[in-house]
Amino acid sequence: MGLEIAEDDSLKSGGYDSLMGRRRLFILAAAVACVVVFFVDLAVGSSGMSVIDAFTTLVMPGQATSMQRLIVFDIRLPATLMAIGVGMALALAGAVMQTILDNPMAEPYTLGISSSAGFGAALVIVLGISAAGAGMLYISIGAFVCSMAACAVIYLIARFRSSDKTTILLTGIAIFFTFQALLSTLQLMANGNQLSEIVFWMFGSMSRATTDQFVIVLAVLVASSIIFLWNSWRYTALKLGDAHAASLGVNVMTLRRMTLIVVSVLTSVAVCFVGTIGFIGLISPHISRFLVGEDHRYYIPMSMLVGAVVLIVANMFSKVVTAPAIFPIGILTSLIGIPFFFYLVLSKRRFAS
Amino acid sequence: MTLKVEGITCGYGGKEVLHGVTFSSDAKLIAVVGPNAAGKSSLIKCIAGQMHHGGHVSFKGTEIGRQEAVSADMVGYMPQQHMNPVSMTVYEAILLGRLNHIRWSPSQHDRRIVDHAIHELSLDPIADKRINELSGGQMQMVSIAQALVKEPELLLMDEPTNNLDLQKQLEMFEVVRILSEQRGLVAMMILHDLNMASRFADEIVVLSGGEVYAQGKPGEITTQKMLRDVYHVEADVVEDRDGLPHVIAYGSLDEGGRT
Repeated sequence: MGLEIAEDDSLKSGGYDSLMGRRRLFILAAAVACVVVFFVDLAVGSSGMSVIDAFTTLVMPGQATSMQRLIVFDIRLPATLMAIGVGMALALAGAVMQTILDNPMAEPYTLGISSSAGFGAALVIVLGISAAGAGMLYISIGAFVCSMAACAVIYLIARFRSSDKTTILLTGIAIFFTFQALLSTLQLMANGNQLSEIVFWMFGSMSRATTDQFVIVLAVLVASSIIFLWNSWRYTALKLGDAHAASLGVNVMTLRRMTLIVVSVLTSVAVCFVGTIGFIGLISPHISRFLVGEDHRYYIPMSMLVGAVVLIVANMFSKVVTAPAIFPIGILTSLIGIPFFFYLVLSKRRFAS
Repeated sequence: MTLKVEGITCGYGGKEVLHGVTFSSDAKLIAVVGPNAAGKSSLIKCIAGQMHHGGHVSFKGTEIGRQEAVSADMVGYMPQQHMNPVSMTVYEAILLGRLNHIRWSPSQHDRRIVDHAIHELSLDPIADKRINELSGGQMQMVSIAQALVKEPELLLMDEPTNNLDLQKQLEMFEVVRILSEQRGLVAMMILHDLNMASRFADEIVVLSGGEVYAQGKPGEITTQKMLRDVYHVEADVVEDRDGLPHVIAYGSLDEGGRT
């Protein structure tokens, strides 16, 4: 150790380099998969279109027919982009939540953020504010405000108890059941139309997404991912446990609080436009961990890519399953995700890690 | 004095564990010994800035005992807890010891320090193994390596010999001793084995009931009286071939004991 380390001797640890190389390859493969499903998704819909047509329409709009432009740009692209943005956002939120709470079950859903958003949306619907022209906007605002309020409660209680991870988790679960009960109450009070609107929102849907909404999601997503990636080494250290992370110089309490705040905004923004979409935040980090291990420089982007791919594929199925009607995407993410998830959990296979 | 500890008090949930611990030392290798619940871990945590406390700690004239000293790599601290059984490799885990130097990719310099530590502690065969595949002793060695690659000036270790077999214990002591000779590292360890403490340390601090009972060279500290007062055991102290005290314990002096 203390012996002078000659700067010219070569590194003996080839294992680490090949491990990193493999991880980069997995990230690249996931990125390619993401692009491929993106174009396939653009081609899928009630009016048929080939993947090549969808591609040329998007890349060279001048050469496409006005009908093709309408279908791709006005109908399909906003939903697909939203699927990417929300998929990435929920997966990213789940990924860092699992790390800071040291719990493989943590995700926006388990902390009650999604159910509080659902309550907010339902409240706006039942109060009839959505009857006005800008109905969707008010529903989104209601969902956002409520989920931020839920996060504030979690944050304050966490702060009171010096950011103890069990406290955070238990508070989140309490909030989940509270809003679930409140939501049921609202459903009981709602009339038929309102009820179906609440149910529709709860299932989650990309079909009402607009490009403006996507831009908002994207902005929050970019900001959050930069913050999280900036701290990736600290998160990796935190995986070893609080005591070890602190001994390595990580301010565990500050990191946990900061992360909680960013996750709150990220999740609230993601769910307020498209409704509650569960499971993405849970499975994407697990798949990512299977593929690239615990190093958060790889784990964070991989989680996002997996989240995007899963939600795009779900979006694709939602257009096919009950065509021409659109099947709720929130149901599909679980139906697609669960079997794959079981496969990963039960087969002891690990890939790169 | 290199290390000065003045009036350290701390506690858990209103119950005071340390009642003003004061000592100072110029020794390179310090062992902290004492019975269970004497406050050894708390003392080390306070010095490492990992626990809220009253009083002052300084090292080479710099006030430590704060998280900042750990973040600045002046102080290294190896906690008693095991690492979580994560799926990262031994190499990755040890590399985390260089956390305060790494921005995005670890530099060649960081990598060489890690390579070197792995070699010194004979961890080469398990470098690419995952943490969750290791035995308790191997995990302990990884923890030690992680603390060493920080290259601290003051290294605080909470029961580093846990789970280690006799050979690994001696190897670990040897690595720390070489570091103290070559780089001037000051190491302070909590040890349970008094004979190992005598072998390793230049100076021993005996904690009892949250206070310093005695401090001094192994020969002065390890006495029948101390063993009776602090540990409540009936024991003989003999000299080994290097002239170091060696404890032969016969039984507990407390109610229910054999003597």
